[in-house]
Amino acid sequence: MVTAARPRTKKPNYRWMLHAGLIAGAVLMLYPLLWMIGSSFKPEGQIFSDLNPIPTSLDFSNYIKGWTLGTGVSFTTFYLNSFMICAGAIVGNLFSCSLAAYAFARINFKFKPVLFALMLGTLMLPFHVIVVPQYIIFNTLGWTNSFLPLIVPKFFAVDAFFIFLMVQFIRGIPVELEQAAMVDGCNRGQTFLLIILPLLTPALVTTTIFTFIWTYNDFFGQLLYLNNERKYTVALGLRQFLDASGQSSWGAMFAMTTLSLLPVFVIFLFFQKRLVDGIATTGLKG
Amino acid sequence: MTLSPTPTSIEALPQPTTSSVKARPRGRNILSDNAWGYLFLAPWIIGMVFFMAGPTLVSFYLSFTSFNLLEPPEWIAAKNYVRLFTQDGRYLNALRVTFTYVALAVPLNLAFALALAMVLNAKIKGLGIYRATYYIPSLLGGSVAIAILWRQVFGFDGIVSQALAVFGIEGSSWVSSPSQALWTLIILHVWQFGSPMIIFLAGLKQIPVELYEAASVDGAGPWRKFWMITVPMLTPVIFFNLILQIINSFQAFTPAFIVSGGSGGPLDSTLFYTLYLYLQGFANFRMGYASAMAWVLLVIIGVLTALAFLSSRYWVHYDDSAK
Amino acid sequence: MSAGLCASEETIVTKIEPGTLSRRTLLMGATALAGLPLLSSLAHGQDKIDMRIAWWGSDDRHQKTLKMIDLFEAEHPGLTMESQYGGLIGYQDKLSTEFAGGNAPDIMQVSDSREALIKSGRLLELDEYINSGELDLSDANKSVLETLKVDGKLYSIPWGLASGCYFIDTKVFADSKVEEPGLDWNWDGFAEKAKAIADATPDGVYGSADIWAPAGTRSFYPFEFFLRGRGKTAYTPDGKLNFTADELTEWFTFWDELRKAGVVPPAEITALETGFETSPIVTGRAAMYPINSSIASSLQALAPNPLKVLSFPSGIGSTALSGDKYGAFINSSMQVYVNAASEHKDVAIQFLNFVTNSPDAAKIHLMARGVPLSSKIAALVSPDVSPIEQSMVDMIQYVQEHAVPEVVSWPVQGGQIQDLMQRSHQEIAFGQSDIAGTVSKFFDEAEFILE
Repeated sequence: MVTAARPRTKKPNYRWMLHAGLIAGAVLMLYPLLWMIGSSFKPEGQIFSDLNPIPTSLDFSNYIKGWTLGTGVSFTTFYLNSFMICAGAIVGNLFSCSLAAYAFARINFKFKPVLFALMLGTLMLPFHVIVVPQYIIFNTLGWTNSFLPLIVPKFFAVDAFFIFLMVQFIRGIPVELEQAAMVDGCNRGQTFLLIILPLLTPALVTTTIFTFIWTYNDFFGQLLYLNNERKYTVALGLRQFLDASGQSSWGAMFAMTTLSLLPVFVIFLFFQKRLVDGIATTGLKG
Repeated sequence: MTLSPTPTSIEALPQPTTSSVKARPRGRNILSDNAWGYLFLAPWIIGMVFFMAGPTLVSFYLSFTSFNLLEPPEWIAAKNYVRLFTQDGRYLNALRVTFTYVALAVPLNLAFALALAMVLNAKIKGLGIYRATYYIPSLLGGSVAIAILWRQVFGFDGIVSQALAVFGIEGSSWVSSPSQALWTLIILHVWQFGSPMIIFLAGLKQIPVELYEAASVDGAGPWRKFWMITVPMLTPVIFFNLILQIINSFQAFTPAFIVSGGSGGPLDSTLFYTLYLYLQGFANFRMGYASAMAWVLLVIIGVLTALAFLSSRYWVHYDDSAK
Repeated sequence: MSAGLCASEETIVTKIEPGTLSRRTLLMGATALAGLPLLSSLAHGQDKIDMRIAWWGSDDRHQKTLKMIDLFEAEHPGLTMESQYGGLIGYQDKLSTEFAGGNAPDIMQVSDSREALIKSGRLLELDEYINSGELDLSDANKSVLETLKVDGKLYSIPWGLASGCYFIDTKVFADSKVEEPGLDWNWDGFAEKAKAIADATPDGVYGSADIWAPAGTRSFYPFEFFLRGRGKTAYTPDGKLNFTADELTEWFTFWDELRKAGVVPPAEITALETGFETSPIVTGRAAMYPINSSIASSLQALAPNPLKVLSFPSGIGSTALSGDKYGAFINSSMQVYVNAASEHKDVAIQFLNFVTNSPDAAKIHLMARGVPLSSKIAALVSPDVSPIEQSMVDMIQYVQEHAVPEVVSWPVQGGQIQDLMQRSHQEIAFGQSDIAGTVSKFFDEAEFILE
């Protein structure tokens, strides 16, 4: 894999080796997941007592049993809820973080270094110690048991990670482009919309993907703020199968975990192309 | 708001001031740079004030109190901090475990991510599928399934043990051995290299193709091109990934929580800093103590981040400051 | 409230000006809309009561509990119970946060923080309601209720009785030609059976799982059972340790010898357990497994062979870990509590009563949380349960009859002492420290924790 790390190989036999290496690497990396997928087709009793990862027969009962929980709520609800929260979080992050990032990357304003350090500082405090005070804020606002605590803060750029990400990317964009626009009479707002945003596509796509995955997988926040099973998300739904003090349905959990990877996989497959094309189509060359 | 030592230490750093676009032709630019800056920052400032500042200040206050979540906090001055460093052996152990983890997991993860990003930036067939496939482990995030999967890989009957047995090495259970359990978490972190890989990929896309073409004309080989073009052009992204990895790895929580079943075991060998913090705060109801731990961690991360920023002027090349 | 607001608006508007037709229509429309919820609640002929109930568990338990709640709601017109349920992971964190935020449920199970919650006055004391007859516990075993008390007061009722127990694999016993122990077995008997099985089975199969099996996460209870066998308690009423270094040494030594003899598995195997689903009795590595009995049917579902529930061995007539009393007691984790700040304490108490005494509720719930508290109810549902649950009923019966009632509840830091116990067992098992060193370190650290 190290030898394959060169940007472009020209001889066809190298290419063949590259594919072989990539496939071998993928199989190695995916072994745990393949085990999980195999187990999702096994009857409950066999999962932990039978070591062979390959199921003896294709048994879909874990999928059927897992999709609709005994309580009558199904993963259809969980998926819809997850997608709603993810969509809100993505829009919020794209909007608020790009604005803040542009200010930090390009505009000279008072107290910028202090605010920038503050922004980074918010990344450094472990969230466990601000959970309780935050809960009290949202509870006072009457937002518990709703999606609001999971979405609204994103519109106010609380995910400093993405601000930082975009700052780094904006700083990689040549200044001359903006200077030219300003010579043409564009103001800051116009420059941001017309020059920076289009060039920022790869970072925006990255933000979209990460926001989606992190929100989709976030367990603690969703657990804390959502009380009713009808408001539960996929991440919470998956934990419904596990109970350290009673019956855990591991087969159903593996089945639903396998399924839960599909949307993220598809979204990734779709967006990664954009990631590649993003910068190329803007015609920026040096 | 200047509670943390971090802001003050970074304050002194070279900020993108030199790189800012000066709105030279005033033209229709009726607003000053200050006004524009704060206009763009408005959502962030509102978010800071309403959602972040209060809870942050509260946690700072609580770090000087004894607070069990249920009764009013009681002021005990710096006692929590003193106790951390003078009496709490598990805390010092958690520090050691965390530093070891960061020192090994971060460079390995970044090297792996960069290598794969280079390969998956080449023009080969099925690129999308490869990228997505290599990203799948990262999609799993902190899934509860990982606890079981990791035992299937690193347990007694796990594939690693079986593979080693082929070479005549006595099987052992990494995941349940105090001397090896941390390694399984380091491997877990390296395994989930997808996020930095994506950021590297996006960075690679920003490198103008002409640079490589020009270098080819000059007769540079792939290795030379990697060091002379790719690495320097990628330094802002490398820098970004490094900072983020440092910040995130020091706060790593979910992997240890999931794999050790919330205990940090066996024998505290995977007791990460934030896991111990969490156990103190939520399982032992010592939120004051946990808050003190959080602020010490903030200082540690802050200092290391500041050092990285200080060093960055020697090795990070921004396009905007190059000219 | 909404209707009152609108009414006042109406008056204000009429006072200021008669208003145009369009505005009046608009206002009337608004009034009608705002009045709707009021009307619908009037239609019920009851005040609307909203309550919240929280528990953790698995799908089966959720289904049964939701059905019980439906039944309870049907008996209480106007009552809406919002159910907050999920797995155990994160349950306690959320509950603590809700208590801190003043937004905790009215009725709940509590996993780890019962002592802290009681100490801060967050949980409702039930004695008043028992005395007034609102909560009828006349069919419950008195000594069980006694063991649940904290400082002489009752704050919870078990939503199903359970105790620390041993599960045994009947097939391995039969195949090894070892006679199954009875409920009255002691520690000598345990060691003997475990050795016999270890000898009769191939290498890699052990007589019993180790006592610190992580899934149990209750590694302090077995030690407490041992102390109680000697008529002692683990803690003093003011929350200090109430045992000696000798007793702790005796305990560690008993297990260390079994481990060295290959009767219980080495540390790496025990530490591999993530939960009882990966326990040695499921993977076929051990024939006996100590854990709380509430998991009986789940464990049976995963285990390859038929299991049986046995009470914890005692020290009576034993040379090892001897004691002249029966030390085990009913220690159900599934208990139900009422929030002291609940606005509807009376309804909450009615729910506790319903859970304990309603035959209809019991027919739904069966043994989803263990054996019913009321002996009448237990007898009623017993014919409907599986063999493993039947065996659990017998064990609970035995423990109820034999347990010493005196219990000193754990201090707030009890959970931390339990963790310390777990780590101490590990230190010896992994050979990181000898028994003497571990014991002295235990007392040092315990002092630090309990200070």
